[in-house]
Amino acid sequence: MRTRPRSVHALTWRQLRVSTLVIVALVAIILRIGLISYGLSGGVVGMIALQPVIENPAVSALYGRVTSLPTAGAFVEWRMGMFLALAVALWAGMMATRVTRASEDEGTWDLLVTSARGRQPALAATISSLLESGVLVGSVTIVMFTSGSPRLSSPVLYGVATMGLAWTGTGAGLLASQFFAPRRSATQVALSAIAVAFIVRVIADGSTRLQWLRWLTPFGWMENVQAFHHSSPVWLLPLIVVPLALSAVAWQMQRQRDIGIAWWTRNDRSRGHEMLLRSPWRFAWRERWGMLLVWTTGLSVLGLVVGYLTNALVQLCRTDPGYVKLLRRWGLGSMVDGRGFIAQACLLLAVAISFMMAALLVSIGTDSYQGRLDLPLAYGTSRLKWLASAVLATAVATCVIAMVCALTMWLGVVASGTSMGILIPIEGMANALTMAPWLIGASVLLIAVLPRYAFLVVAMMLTVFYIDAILGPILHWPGLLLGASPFFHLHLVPVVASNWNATIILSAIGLVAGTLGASVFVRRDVGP
Amino acid sequence: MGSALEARELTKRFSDTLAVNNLNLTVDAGEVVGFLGPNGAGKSTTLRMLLGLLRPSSGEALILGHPAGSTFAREHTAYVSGDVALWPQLSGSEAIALLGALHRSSDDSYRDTLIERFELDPGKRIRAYSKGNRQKVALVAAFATRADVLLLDEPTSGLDPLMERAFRECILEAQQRGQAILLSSHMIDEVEHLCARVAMIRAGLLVSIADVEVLRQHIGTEYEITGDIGDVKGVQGVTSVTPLPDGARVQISGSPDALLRFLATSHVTSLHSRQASLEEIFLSFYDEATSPSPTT
Repeated sequence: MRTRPRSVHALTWRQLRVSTLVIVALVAIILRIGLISYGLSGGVVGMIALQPVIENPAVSALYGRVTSLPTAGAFVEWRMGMFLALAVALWAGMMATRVTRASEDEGTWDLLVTSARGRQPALAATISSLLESGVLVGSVTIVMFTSGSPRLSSPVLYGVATMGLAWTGTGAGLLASQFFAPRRSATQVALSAIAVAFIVRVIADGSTRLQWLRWLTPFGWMENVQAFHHSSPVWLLPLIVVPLALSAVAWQMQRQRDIGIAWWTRNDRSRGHEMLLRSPWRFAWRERWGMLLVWTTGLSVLGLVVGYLTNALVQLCRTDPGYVKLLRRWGLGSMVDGRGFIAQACLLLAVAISFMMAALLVSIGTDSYQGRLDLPLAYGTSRLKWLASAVLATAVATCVIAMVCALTMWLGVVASGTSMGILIPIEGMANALTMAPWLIGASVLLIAVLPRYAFLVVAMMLTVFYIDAILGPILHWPGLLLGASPFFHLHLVPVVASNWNATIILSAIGLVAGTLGASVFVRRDVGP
Repeated sequence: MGSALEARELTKRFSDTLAVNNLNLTVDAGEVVGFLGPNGAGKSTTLRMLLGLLRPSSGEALILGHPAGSTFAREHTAYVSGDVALWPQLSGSEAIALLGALHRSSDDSYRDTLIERFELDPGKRIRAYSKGNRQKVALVAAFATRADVLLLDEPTSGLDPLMERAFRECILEAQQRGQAILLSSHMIDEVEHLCARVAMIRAGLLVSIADVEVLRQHIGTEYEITGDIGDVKGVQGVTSVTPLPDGARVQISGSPDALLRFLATSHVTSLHSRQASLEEIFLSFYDEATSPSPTT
């Protein structure tokens, strides 16, 4: 039997519980995989071999700057820590806008603040729930690391730092919710701020002259804690104080503004551009325009950074046979030259592009359960046309963005001083797109049967499949398990030819799933 | 020619809940039919089935003889919901333009008249509109299509009295143009003013569909009589008698002939008659836990 929430705190937890469970499980799984990888990398001896690698500026830019990897904890922190921290901060930012700005958009916040609790206690209870979810994430980190560290203090420091990053995401989300409406805008701003903070850390760690930039970003503070090295707990102070200060500012700001309205309200008028409103196909672009802009910018920058790292990594491979050996042990032996590195990078970008496609497509599911499809579907548009327009716009946009990403990657390669034909990244990115039919089909099916949870399910599916494809071969997982992941079937193009057989099979699966999904979407009830 | 809108044995079941049960309803061209019922009675579910947004569990819904949700039906229908949900980043004019473009039959000059009549600021974004203004956007879009069938689900919720007047004008214009309108509303006064025929639904079951006048006859007429009128209880058609200090309040159903003949032999100083309002009719239907009373 369902229990009824008896307070704002309990109500917020009810909204957070599923995603908190997912992120906690994901953190635990990734850390466990990291600890297994430590063993596979040769333990203490393997870490000595890694020494030249960790000193490489390009590697530092990606994974963070460390001087040595004395323990399993240090290795996992270096190998997984930064991206895990980024994921945790992004998740916390999204959750913060969900329970604050989205509640105001939907009008549910009105009920809470007009209840006996009042607006300030209601927000305080909400903030408290968000911070508690961060504590949970930090706690699972501590639990997972206690087996990999001889001292308890190191996992605790690292766990608190991870919690600090979650709190930072919360603070960013809370503050963005005060400034921007609707939730989509607030989330975009919060996540962009977190992404910028991460890029600042990348720049700081990739350069010797700009290392001071680490002082300006929460990711840098986390790095400075050096939980598994020469611990500097003092850096936990900003990681805790700054998010709390951001939360306090958001709390204070809410008191001084109208409920339902953000501080930034300048753009509440529009001149009325009707060009992209004349058909479902045009509107599919109009609806996704903002998201496309954000994704194009993000993926272009990512392509540029990855391309720029090519030279440093190729040089490292030329000068350090130990690194080449390690790459081979990790199943990344093809990365020893520029072409191989770009091919591998394109596989990584395929994951990002898959997330983008899912985000662009599943907005139909959100529109459906929020009642926004009622009027368009009642006004003459067929459901199939609406769905097909969204699918086609997403497919075209994905192809264009993938090619833009290939171009910026090539520009990065050239800027790093490596000579490479433009066709290499283009072929690599085109190969990444061979997964598109499968992903579109799966997304359409999920939109039809689980509109409310479509993105969550797609995101989890992609994460699990990627982990399966990357770690499965190293950990000698069964062939059936490996074959289940579409990422596993992506060949390292252009180092080797495309896997056309797999492409055809995946496309057929996508076609079946898509047809089934479209058929359900056309027949099912629409509405909140 | 058949009805503009027809529901035949329309039924909708949501797992264990029977939301609409064997509902039969017709609306002819140029007719405004009111659709009354308490919260959760099944009004919105019925309208959403007529739009093709919900699939009936059994029965069928037809728009101009075509199945609801078919291309033909959609192209001849416009809809206003009680809680308008649109993309918050669009402005009012953009939302109206989008819906007009999707319908393919928007009367632009009438649209401009409607924007003026409803005093809508079309340059504002949807997110900045109040509930009433979002409602105006949907009303302007719906009336501007000049669709043959208008399905209106509590369309005036959030509108101020002045705008309700503008809405009534639009309904009368649409009726004169021959558009068929099904108006679901909680505002009984509005329905009484606009609709010649009313359908009442309770717990998914249509309890009555009839002309308002017929319904009044069902409830009866009330007479307040002063004077020495004697015992009227036995008079044909009298359903209740309430004594007053100087007379009595008498409720009759059907023709008042017998009562008037009886009163002609009494000493009556004054006689006032009052017909039941639609609200009273509505309440009488929902107070009664009786079986449906089919009328035409």
